[in-house]
This record gives sequence, C-alpha cells and structure tokens, in this order.
Amino acid sequence: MATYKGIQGFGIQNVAGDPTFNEGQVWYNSSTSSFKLNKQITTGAWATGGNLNNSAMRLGSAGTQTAALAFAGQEPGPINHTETYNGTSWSDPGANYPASIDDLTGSGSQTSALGYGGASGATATNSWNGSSWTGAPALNVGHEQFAGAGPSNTAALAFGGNSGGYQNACEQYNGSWTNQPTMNTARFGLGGAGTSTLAIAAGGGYQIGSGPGDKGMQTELYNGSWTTVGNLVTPMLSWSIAGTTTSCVGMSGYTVDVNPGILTTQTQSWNGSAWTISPATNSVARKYTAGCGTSAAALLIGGETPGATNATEEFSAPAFTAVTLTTT
Amino acid sequence: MAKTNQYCVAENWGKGFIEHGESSKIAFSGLPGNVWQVPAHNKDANLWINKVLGVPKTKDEAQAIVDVEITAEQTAWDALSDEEKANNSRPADITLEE
Amino acid sequence: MSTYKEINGQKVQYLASDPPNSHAGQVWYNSTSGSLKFNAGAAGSVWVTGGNLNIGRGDGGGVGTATDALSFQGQQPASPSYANATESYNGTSWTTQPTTNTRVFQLGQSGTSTSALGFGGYVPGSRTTATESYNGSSWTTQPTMTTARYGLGGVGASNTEALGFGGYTTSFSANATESYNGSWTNSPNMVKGGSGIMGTGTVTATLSAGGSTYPDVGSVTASESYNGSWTSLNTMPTPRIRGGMTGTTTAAVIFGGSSNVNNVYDGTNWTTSATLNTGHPESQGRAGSSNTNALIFGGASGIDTTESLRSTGGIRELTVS
Repeated sequence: MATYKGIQGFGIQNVAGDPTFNEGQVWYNSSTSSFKLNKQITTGAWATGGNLNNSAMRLGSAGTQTAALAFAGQEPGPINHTETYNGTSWSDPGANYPASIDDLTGSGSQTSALGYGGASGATATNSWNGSSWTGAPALNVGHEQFAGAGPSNTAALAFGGNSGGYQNACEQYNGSWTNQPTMNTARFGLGGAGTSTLAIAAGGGYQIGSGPGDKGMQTELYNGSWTTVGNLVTPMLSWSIAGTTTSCVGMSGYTVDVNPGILTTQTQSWNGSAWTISPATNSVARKYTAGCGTSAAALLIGGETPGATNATEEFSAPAFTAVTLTTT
Repeated sequence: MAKTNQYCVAENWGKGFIEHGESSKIAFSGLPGNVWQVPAHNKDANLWINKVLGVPKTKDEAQAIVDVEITAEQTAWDALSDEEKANNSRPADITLEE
Repeated sequence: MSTYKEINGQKVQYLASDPPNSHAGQVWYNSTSGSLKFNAGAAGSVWVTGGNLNIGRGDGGGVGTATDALSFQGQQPASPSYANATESYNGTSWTTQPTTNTRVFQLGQSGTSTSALGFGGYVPGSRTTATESYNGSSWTTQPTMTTARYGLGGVGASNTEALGFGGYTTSFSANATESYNGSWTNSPNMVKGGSGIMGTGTVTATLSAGGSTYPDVGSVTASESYNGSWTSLNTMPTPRIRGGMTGTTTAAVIFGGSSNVNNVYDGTNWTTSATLNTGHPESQGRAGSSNTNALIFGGASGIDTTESLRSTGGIRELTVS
C-alpha cells in the first residue's frame, strides 16, 4: 500500500544543523550552506577509541561500546589489570583481577561481569560487581582460548577451548557451572557472543603449522543444544565477535584463508542465517583480542599486532547518516 | 605506474584519531612503528593525514621503520620458552606495497 | 716545520677590547670586562645529550631555557595517553612538579619555568580552548581561548601574556591568531598558518615556521613573522612539523619533530645546521632563550631523552673552576 511519504513526500526544511530526519528526507543546512540527505547506511564503519592504559592480548572483556570492562591477559607474560571504558577513555577502577592469567574469557556488563578459565587449564571463576572481584564457583573443566557469553555475573555460557586438546565442552553458569550438550565441532580460538541461553560460536579450531582447510569456518548456535549453521565467508581464528544469534559482527583476527595465516582487518556480519563480508575494515589488524557490545555498536580491545597493543576500535552500524548533496 | 598506497607516521592518540566518517571512505592499515598505510592520490586520506599531523614517508622510509619494529618483536619471540612459543606464532615480516 | 708561535708561543696581550682579527688559540686579557678570553676557532654548534624525562612524552608544552626549563602535559604511551605531568629541568636532570588540571597534548605555551601558560591542544575526542597558568608551585585554570585548536604555536614572556597562532581547527583552516593578557582576544590571521607549527620570539616580534596545511601535508617550509600583523618570510630548506624553535625574528634555530636535520634563520634566510643525536618525532615542546640556547625533550611513543644545543668556537672566556 502506498504511504503518505511515498505520495506526498517531505518538505525541504531550512535548519541550522543536521537533526534526525526520516530516511530519504532532504533538508537545507543553513550553517554549512548545503543540501543534506538522510541516507541509509547499513554497512557500518570503524573508529579509533581510547587507548588502553595497559597493552594486553588474550584478555577478557564485558559490557558495551560505551561501558566496557577489560581485564587480565598477557603483555607478554600474564597480567592482572582491570580497566573500565566510558566510550572515550579507559580508567583504572582500582581493583586487579584476582590472578595474572591469559587466555581467559569474560562476559556480562561493566558493573556485573564474570571472568573465567584461562591458560594451563584454569577453572577459576571470578565475579565483578562494578568495583571489586570476588571468587565464584569454578568451571567443571579447564578452558583456555575459548569463548563465552552472558548478560551478568549470575548467568554465562562457556564453550570450546584448547585445554588438553581441542574442546567441544560447554558449561552454563547460574550461580555455579553445569555441563551442557557439547558443541558439534571442537575448536579453540573461536569467537562467541549472545546470552547464557542463546549463544553463537564462530570460527576457531586451527592448528598453527598446518595448512588451511575447512577449519576455522564453522558456526554453531546454542539454545539448549548446539546446531551447526552457515560457514563463515573467511576462516577466522583468535578473534572476537559481538552481538546475538540473529545479528553479530566478527572483528579482525587471524585468517587462515592463506598459508601461513595472516592478521586481517576484515569485518564479517551475521544476519541470523548467513555471514557476509562487510565493506568496513578496521585499522589495526590483530588477533587474541577481546570484544563486546552489539552488532550495531561493538568494541574491539587490545590484542596482538605483533606485540601486545593498547589500541581500541569501535564498530558502529548506524542505520542512517546525513550526507551532503553536491552538483555533478 | 601510479602508487596505490601512501604512508605516514603518527602516534595513535585514541578517540578521534580515526572517525567513523573517515573509516567509511578510507582503508586504513595501522603498522608497527606508528606507521599508517592509506590510499594514495586520495583527498580524504590526505585530509586525514593533515588532521592527525602525520609525517608523510616514502614506502622505503616506512618499510625501514616497520622492519625495526618487526625485528624487535621477532627477537623477543626467539627468546621465549618452548611452551610460550607453542602458544604464540613468530611475528612474520611485513612487506609494504607501493 | 714548526712555526714561530709553536716554538716561542704568543704573548697574552693586555687589551681594552677583544681584538678584531684574533686567530684560533690566541689568548688575551680584556681589561674592560676583567676577563681572560680566547679565540676557540670557527663558530659552530653541536647537540649534547642531557638527562631523561621522568615520564617520556611528546607534543607537550615547553618553556624556559636550556638550563631552566619546564615541560608539561603531552602524549604518552599509556596511563592514560593524555598526560598531566609537569617536570622542571636544571640543565642536568628533570624533577617532577605538581600536575596540571587538564590532560592535553599538542598545546601552545608561553612563559618561563616559574611563570608559564599552557593553552589549547587536544583532549580525548576533541580540540580544546582550555588555558592554565603555572606560578612555580601550582596550576590554575584561566579564561578559555576564543578558538579551540591543537598543534598551535605559542610565545610569550610570562604567564600573563601570550600569542597563540595556527593549529588545526578544521581541515582547511589553521591560521587563527589570538592574544592573551589575562583573557583571550582575536588577532589578525596568519598568512598561511599551519598545525604542528613552531614559534619563537615575543608577542610583538614573533617568528613562526613549518607546520602542516592541507594540501601541503607534512611538506610545509613556510615561515612568517608577526609584529601586529603577519608577513611571509623566505622558506626553510627542511620541511618540519611538531618540532621546536628558539631565538628571535633575526636569529633562530628550528629543530626536531619530523626531521633531525635542523635549520637556522639569520633574519632573512634559512640554512641547514647541526643535526640531533637521536630522533624526537612529535616533540612540539621545547625550551631555549636564543638561537644558541635550545633544549629538545621527549617525543612519540614515550621517548624520554633530552638534548641541548651547545655552541662551539668563537670568542670565549677562560673561567676559574
């Protein structure tokens, strides 16, 4: 059915700025003396965020693009820093992670998060309440270089890893960890996102030194058990993804599409049924990162470039943006 | 043949260094040694270099800076224990393109 | 073959003024100044390594002389990247002083080690108009600039006067100028301007050089002088941004930043001079009282080294140790 805007259209207003208008609407910006168009942009774009106070790779994170938490990791050698991000810069909240440990995972929010697992088959779990860390019930098995998801320090899902071999183990936390149905493909260095009951696992599993193959391509969704879904476009390892089972963004990482693998600035997007390559690329190619946020507002934190980096990048996928109209 | 890339040196100051609008128009590649690779003959890239007060470098100058950093990282990797080496891949050489 | 002077030596004359045609090695007593003086050979200059900063920083504020300097704020690798550190230099080592109120880098500056002003620059995510003054013991917030910008140049004799010029405001504008005498007011625009620009002199006789302007990014060799309005001068042989400059509109030296090859200015022309021992990229802060008294410190990625300009040769005084 035809809409009012389709029949009548929008009047071209004369305003001193770029207010939020409807998609397709044209206005005259009297401050810049130019005609502007509110154009749909769905591909997203990257921007640099505030640098971490402490460079780190293999670290854990939680939160959103404007309220994030980063902790522990390696630089090189295990570290225990905790930092909080406000969308502009990182600060020290004055509380270290209880252990200096890398290859752990984090999930939750800036004020309610969990840190769990880590190198050498660590099972330790720690709960963050916004100002301090306290010990929590341990994982049933050790997980390192694995993925996790969850909304708070009382609910999380841990899956995959490389502790004593590639892992397909999955555990769910709701005050303590309980074993869940295993993943279909055991792998480490995978990306993970979602909640403790609806999660996505993508990539990972590649053995350094071997040639490329079908490893690093798998995607699985969890809703009580795991289901394998569409492959990644580009196999990825040691990367971070952010979002949900229906909308997710995969950021940078170590691609094994070539042999030997290389660091990439590629961004891949998941729409619930398939992955596509985003035209957007980030500026610092890195692996062993931490990531959090949503597919529309994600944060990529630290990593190895080579050498640990303090760089933070923000991925945003605004639905619309004002562009200036020019004459040809 | 016309260059595809140009290089500059500028230390990433964090927020505001690369903005969304710039990233959607320019392919950035951050390299070791504060070296940045952006498209050559590109007005948006030139505007960005101006904004961050970058110092333009030739490809060879940029390569020399990157080589120093990579060599240092490789030396550090070579000094790791076998266990640590198994957990980390040796930094690869980076060859810049014109 | 040995010369007469090598065998018999040369007598130390008693003179009322320095002889006009002395030669290297000649010693005389100047009765007017009551000092023993000598000709140390051809005049030149060399950079000498000094003490390291406590916190390696780049593009901070710098004022004072090569033996009595103040360094404040700047960009550092971490904790966080916008520094509020203040340090003083006595010619040998740096001492930590009270921190500034704001964290900023690529700012302008004026004054001395005990009467300094810092203004403008870049704070997380944006350029700023912030202004602070230092009285030797603490920093105090002052009225803000008219135009927010970073990479600006600054000169002035104390924390109550300054000229702030150039610096990045928008892509195509880097020539704004404003004056400070307790508050900021606009002054005539620069001819070309630039960001990452360098300046020296006084608020009424200012020399500016280098800096980046679009589209001459990083290759700016322009120079200007100010005496109430700006005038273009001859260009430098070496393009430069984010370095230091000391001296006057008739005798200046510009150094560091994007190039280790330094230039000197004689009031008309720029020529190449002594090089730095090591790189100091992004070292906009500097100190120095003349074209032969200069100090460069810090730089990108936490560089903490310091170098001072030492003149060699010429007529010198022999002192009692």
